[in-house]
Parts: sequence; C-alpha cells; structure tokens
Amino acid sequence: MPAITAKPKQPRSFGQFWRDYGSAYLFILAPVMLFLTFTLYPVVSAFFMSFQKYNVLQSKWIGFANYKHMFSDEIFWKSIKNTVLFTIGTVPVNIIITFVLAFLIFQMKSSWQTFFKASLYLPSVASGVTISLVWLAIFDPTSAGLMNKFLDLFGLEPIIWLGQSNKALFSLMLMTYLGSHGSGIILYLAAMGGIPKSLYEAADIDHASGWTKFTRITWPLLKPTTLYLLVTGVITSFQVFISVYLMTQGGPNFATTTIAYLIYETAFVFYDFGLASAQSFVLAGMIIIISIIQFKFFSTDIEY
Amino acid sequence: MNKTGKLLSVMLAASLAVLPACGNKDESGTKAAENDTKPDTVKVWTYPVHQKYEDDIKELIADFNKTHPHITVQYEMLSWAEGPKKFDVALNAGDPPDLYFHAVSGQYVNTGLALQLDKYMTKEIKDDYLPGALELGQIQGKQYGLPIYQYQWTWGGNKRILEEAGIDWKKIQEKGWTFSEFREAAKKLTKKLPDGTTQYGLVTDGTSLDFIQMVTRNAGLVDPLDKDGKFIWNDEKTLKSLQFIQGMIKDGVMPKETAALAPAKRTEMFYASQAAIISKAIPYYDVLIQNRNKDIDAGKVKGEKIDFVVLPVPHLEGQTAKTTSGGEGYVAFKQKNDKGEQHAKNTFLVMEALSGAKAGNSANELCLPFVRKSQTKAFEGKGLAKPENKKAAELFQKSIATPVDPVLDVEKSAKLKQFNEQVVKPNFQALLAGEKTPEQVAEDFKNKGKQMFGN
Repeated sequence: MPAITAKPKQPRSFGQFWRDYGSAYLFILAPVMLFLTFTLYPVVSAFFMSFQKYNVLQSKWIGFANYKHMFSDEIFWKSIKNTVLFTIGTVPVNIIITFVLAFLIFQMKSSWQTFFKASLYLPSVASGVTISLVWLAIFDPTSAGLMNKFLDLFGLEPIIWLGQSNKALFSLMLMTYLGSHGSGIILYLAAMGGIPKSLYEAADIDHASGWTKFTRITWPLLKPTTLYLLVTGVITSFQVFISVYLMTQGGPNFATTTIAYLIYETAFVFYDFGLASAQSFVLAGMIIIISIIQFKFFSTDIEY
Repeated sequence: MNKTGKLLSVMLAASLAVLPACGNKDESGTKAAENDTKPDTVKVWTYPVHQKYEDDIKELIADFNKTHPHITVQYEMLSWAEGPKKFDVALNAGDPPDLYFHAVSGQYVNTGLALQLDKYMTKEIKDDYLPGALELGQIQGKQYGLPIYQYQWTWGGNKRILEEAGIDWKKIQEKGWTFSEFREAAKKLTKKLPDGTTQYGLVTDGTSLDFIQMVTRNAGLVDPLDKDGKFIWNDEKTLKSLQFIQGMIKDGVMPKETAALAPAKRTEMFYASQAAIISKAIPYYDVLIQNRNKDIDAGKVKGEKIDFVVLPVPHLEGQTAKTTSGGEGYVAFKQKNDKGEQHAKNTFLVMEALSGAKAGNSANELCLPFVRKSQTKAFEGKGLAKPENKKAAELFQKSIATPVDPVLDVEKSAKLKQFNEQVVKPNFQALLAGEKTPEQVAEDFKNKGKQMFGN
C-alpha cells in the first residue's frame, strides 16, 4: 500500500488570492486609508513636532526642551490637578446616578421604560456647544440666572457660579450630573435584561433580601458594563474642553483650566504647537496608564 | 561611432534642446512679472466692521474691478466670535488669506508669512496718510498693514442717569476725571431701583483684559512693558490702579459678579438702565444706540430710549488722561506655496482699494478719526455722531496710548502676550472676585514679570 503522503501545498497565485480575499480588502481599504491619513499620520507628525520649536515655514529641532518646560510649568500641574479633580468628581458620581436611574426604569412597565429611555437619552443628542450656551444662561451670576432664582426660592443669596475659583469647577461638574446619562442608562438596561431570571428565583428560594440580591447578583453581573462606563467616562472627562472653552475660558484664575484646554491655549493662543504636541502626548500617556490600571483591577469575570 | 559615443551625442543634443528652453522659461518668467493682466484671485477675510460694511466692501471691489478686471477679489465675512480662531488655524497651516482685517501683530510677522509692504508704497499713498497713522500698521518700523481707522476705547454713559445724579458730563468730557473723582461720582450713580434691581455706577465685563488695560494706561503705564521692552508693572502706579478697581467693587458701584460678566451681559444691563456707565465703550455705540432708539419708536424693540454720552476713562491723580487707541485695517500675507511677486503686487493693489478714500466710510460710520487726508475730505460734514460726542472723541484723540506690541521685537511681543494671558488675566479675575488683594496681585505681577522679562 503506498504511504499516504500529504499533498504538497500549491503556491497560491496573486490572482487566486485576489479572487478569494480581494473584495474584503477593498471593503476595509477606505477606513484604513482614513485611519492612516487622519489618525496615524497626525499622531506621528505630532510626536516629531513635540521635539521641535514649530514654525510654519521652518521648525527647529530642540530635543526634550518642550517636555522640560512643561514639567516645570506650574500652570501645567494646575491643569492636571483640575482634570483629576473633575474626573474624580464626575465619573463615579455619574456612574452611580446612571445606575440608579437605570435600576428605577428597569422596574417599570415597558411603555414607561420607552418613555424614560427616550427622555433621558435626548441630552446626548444635543450638541455640547448648545448645552454649554444654555448652561451659561442658567449660571448667570446675577439674580436673573435660573440657578440663582432657584436658590432665591429657599431664601439663599445668589452665587457667582462661574466667577469664583472655588465654585467654577463644581459648576462644570454639576452640568454633567444633570444631563449626561442617556447612553449609560441604555447600556445598563440592556445588561440588566441579560441577567438570567433563574438567579433571582434561586435567591428567592433561599429567602435572600433585596439588598443581598442586589449585591450578590445584580451589581456583580453588571461589572462589565460598569467597567466600560468607567473607562470611557475617564477618557471623556480627561478630554473635557467644550464647556471650559465656552463657559469659563479656563478661569477664573486657572480654576477650570483642564489639560485639554491648556493644549488648545498653547497651540491656538500662543502658537506654540511643539509644546502643545508634547502636552498632548503626556495626556495620551496618562489616559493609557489609567485605562490599563482600570482593566487590571476591575476586569475579572463573574460567572454563576 | 561606438555605443558610448552615440549615447553622449544624444545627451549633448538633449541638453542643447533643454537649455534654451530653460532660458526661454526665465524670459517668460520675467515677462509674467511685467505682464500685469494675467488673471489672478485675491482672497480677503474680513469682519462686519460696522452694520453696512458688507455693502461698502462690495462697492469698493466693484470700483476696483473697473480698473483691474483681471483680478478677482473673493471676500469672506467672518464672525467676530470665531473668525480669529479660523484665521489662526489657516495661518499656522501655512495657508492664510491674502488679506485679513486685523491690527498688525508681531506673531504674524514671526510666522514669516506677513507681507512687508514698504516696496509697494508709493509717495502718493504715504503722503495721503495723516501724521502718525501709517505707524499704526508697522511692526518695528516695517509696514505690514494699512489701517482704515484708529479705534478708541472709552467709557460710555447714560445721559439721563448722569444728569439725575447731578454729574456734569460735559465738564468731564472736556477736563476728564481722576480716580477719586470718579469713585465719588459712581457712588451717586449707584442706587436701588423700584423693581428691586440695582443701578450700578459702572459695569464692565470680567472676561477680557480691556478694563485693566484702560485703567493702567491712565495711571501712566502704557503696557506691562514699555516701548524699550522694559517691564514697568512693578511700581506704585500698578498698585494704585488695582486698588482703584477693587475699591469700586467694595464700594458696590460695580457688581460683585463682575468677574463672571460677559460683554453681552454688560450691554444688556446698560440697555436696561441698570448701568449708568459701561466699559469699554466705543464712539460707534452712539450710532448703534440711536438706531436702537429708532427701533423702539417703531415698536420693533421694547425698552427705554437712551441718550449715549462718550466719557473719558478716569486717570490717576498726577497723571495725564490717555485714550487707548490703535489702528485696524488690512494685513497682507503670502502663503507657504508662494504665488509669486505679481500676486503680491496684486494683493497690495486690492489692499489699497479697500483702504482708500471711499473706505473712510468705516471711520465715518464708527465715528472714529480718519487716517487719510482723502478720507477726511470725502466725508467732511457727514459725521454721524452727536456733536458733543464727536467733539469729545476728537479731544480724546489728542492724548492717546497705543499698545507697545508693534514696536517690540517678536520674542518680547510673544512673552508679553503670555504675561497678559497667564498672569494679568487670572490675577485680574481673582481681584474682581475678591480672592486676592491688590497688594497680592501687584506682588505677583512683580515676581512673574521679573521671571519672564528679567528686570
């Protein structure tokens, strides 16, 4: 009996390869080209620019001078502090608010669920610029402002929301508490719908309390969604710009100068694109490190 | 002939064919420079300088095209809010418009794209400018812009409120007032209104540097740097200016929320008669408010009619009153992909057309001094401001303080901008919000000034 030997692999011709996979590559060509042109190329250019004193006609290579200047600049550290404060003050609070709202909506009949999902998602559809301009009017420092009129109902003095260093950053945080939960609610509701009812039935058999069911079933099984919201929330809050640009311009007295606003100011007010590029890379590095830490500590899977 | 020889012959023949073509190209390049009827397009970015400026610019372009039909002028009307950022991006991308409406700036020169105009300026053009006017478009003695008016920053008052409080505004227009005279007058102008709101003696916005710049210029400090680049915001006059500002907040003659007031809010309060005087005001407000009064008569707008009077900024005792002034007009640029000398010449031709006698309508509409003799002649007797405001504006123009930026070298000019944005503005806002005392602010100016400018 002749030994069974493996058929030798015939070299595939380019024509054959193209017939098999050509259309797939054509489909991904457009997004790849867009990625190369509008993402990779600018990132690489910005990296080289961060080592230069940029000039539109002739830039000058200055090595690490931009990075040295940045790390010795007190305004840079102030912006980092403001950004971290803003993140700590908004991300956990917003996740809690989002979860509570989603939990309450989940208990309702489906028609009411649809109504509340739509209403709470609407602010996500409005542009950040529009929302910021409306909040600017709400935070009007005179007694004519809506927030001050609300305080007046309780006999409280008007507050200069955006004009005092100790209140301006909180005012920007308050904006997020009252309007940015739509997409998170949708995600939580979908995740809650995916928790098997049999787990709750088993808990009921064991006479588990509501709190026990929440802490041992609901919250652990929503961990992937929470992790996603945590990571994206941190990334978004580290890049907060629109509200600062339109409402406070980083003031008063740097109280709301975030790292993203500082990058904008360095580039487009002081025309120092090299330094702004260096600041951008530091921001990117910080976001990557924080995201890695979040995934390391919060990404363990829960299975029952 | 061997193969090498044949190859060399072919190469020699080819070079003989190419070289004359190069020569021809040179000649045709020269001819192109001399030939000024080749179609060209000049891009202009401008702003609604006054309410009718778009009509003006269309007319100026139409007149220009009668004599230069081969040059197409493409203009774009930018918004004041977003135009500066759009231009900054275009400039730093190496593709600014050929002409841009703005004051000259050292930062523009630093990019290497600002076009120097000296070689295009004829004697007729130079002689047409009034004394001192051309210098408003220069950076370190080199011409980069042609001003079409001289702006004036003043304060503006509501005549009714001033007269009810017994303030002699005519005397103030003529003689000026000191910091302490103003504080006394402002206390008389501040009161509670029947509807429970407050009428303030002075309202300004807290989001820009205009106010502190006007006050310090009236304390004998032209800018944080003097024209020689020496840091001067380190003496008693700076402290007195800051004490004057804080004093007005403490007296209650300025709203305590000034730090958060935007320019639009300030104007709204003036129209609602909640402000006796506003800062800053420009003579053009006279025309705008007259138009608003007409709209009120026609029922288009609700509110009280206001009689606007232009007022000088108070000055520190012992110092001369100064009106902040400068030039605004068109600045010329080239692009990274330079379009050549003929295009630069055409750009200047368009610039001159947009800055000439007829362009004086801008100064006329804005109730500002003209910059050219031909403009003064063309608009004689056609002034729009009320006689008392016109007279006051002419008087204010006799004692002006212009920003030092245009006479500084580029590096000092960039540092000055950084000092203004990162030291002056935050400290000014902290002062207005009561978070820092004048002494603390003055000390910070001194220390940071020493750090940045070395003296």
